[in-house]
Amino acid sequence: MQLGIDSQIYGFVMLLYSQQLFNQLFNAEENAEWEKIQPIVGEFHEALSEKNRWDAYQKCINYNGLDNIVFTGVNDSYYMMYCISNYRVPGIDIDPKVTTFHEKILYYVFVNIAKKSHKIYNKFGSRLI
Amino acid sequence: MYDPVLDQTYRLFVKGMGYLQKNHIYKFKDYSECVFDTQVQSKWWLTETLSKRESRDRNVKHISILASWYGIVIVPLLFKRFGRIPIDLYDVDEYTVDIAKYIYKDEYDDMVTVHCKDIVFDDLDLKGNVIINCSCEHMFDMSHIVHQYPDALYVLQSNNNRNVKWLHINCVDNLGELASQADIRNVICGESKQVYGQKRMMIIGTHLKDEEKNAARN
Repeated sequence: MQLGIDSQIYGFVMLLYSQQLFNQLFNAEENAEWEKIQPIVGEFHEALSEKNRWDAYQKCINYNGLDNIVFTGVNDSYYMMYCISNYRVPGIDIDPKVTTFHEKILYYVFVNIAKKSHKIYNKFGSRLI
Repeated sequence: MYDPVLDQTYRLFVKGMGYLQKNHIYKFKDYSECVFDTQVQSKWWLTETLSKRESRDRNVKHISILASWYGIVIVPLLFKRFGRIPIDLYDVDEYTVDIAKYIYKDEYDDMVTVHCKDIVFDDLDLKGNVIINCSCEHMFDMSHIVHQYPDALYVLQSNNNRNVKWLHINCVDNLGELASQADIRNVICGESKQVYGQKRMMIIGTHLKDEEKNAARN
């Protein structure tokens, strides 16, 4: 079995996350939002490392395709994308340790995209069924 | 859609994100749009169609891409289809060009060259025997380039999305309009498709007709 990341999923994650960061962190004070966004993008960039990608790939292979998946933080970004691209993920739970505002924004981005993906993976269209 | 070559696009995207975060954070929103699915679909369509035509009688040796933006979707697709041939990217935005240069340095140093040029107002020295412009709706008629390089094979895309008024200044409604706008007289291929609610059009062709080319050679 070979898993890939669908271009719609990848594109929507990047677009929605960047839009939400700018909308939610907007500040009328000149350049203030950049200072807030910069470390968040840095963290996101680190989370998209090849190591995390490989770990996510393996974790996704072991996903049973039926249960909710759990978002534990920005390092799960690849895992979320692999699962949503390849299965009909019924829902995404959030780990209680996720407390930062920007990680919650990212969580809602994945929830939104997982729900949208149900148009492609209908109830009986999951790979596993 | 999924194609294994997209993994390369995603890798280049992440590489560029690291540089952007340190040097051009205000470009993040613009940058995040360059991997949106419309980009992937239209570039995949372009490379698949071009490779079919190429297999017939065209020899793609060197490609110039006008208004290339970051080019991170089309460059891996072109390499996959045509091998490691030289590709020149042209964009007017100096920050975009700076990020693009970083993306292609090291592993693509010898193959991808990035130029900061306004393709309407600057003098260009296009080296590609194939010239691609996927953003004809953003600029003045392509005929002014086509007349300067009449021998090249052109691959042009445009759309009818007039909602983005401040950017889409030269939309077209059909393939004939696109060919006429660019003065492509020998259309080898013309196709249109719906991409996310807009009609996207593509023509592949040359300004000179085959008999004119042959006569010029003799």
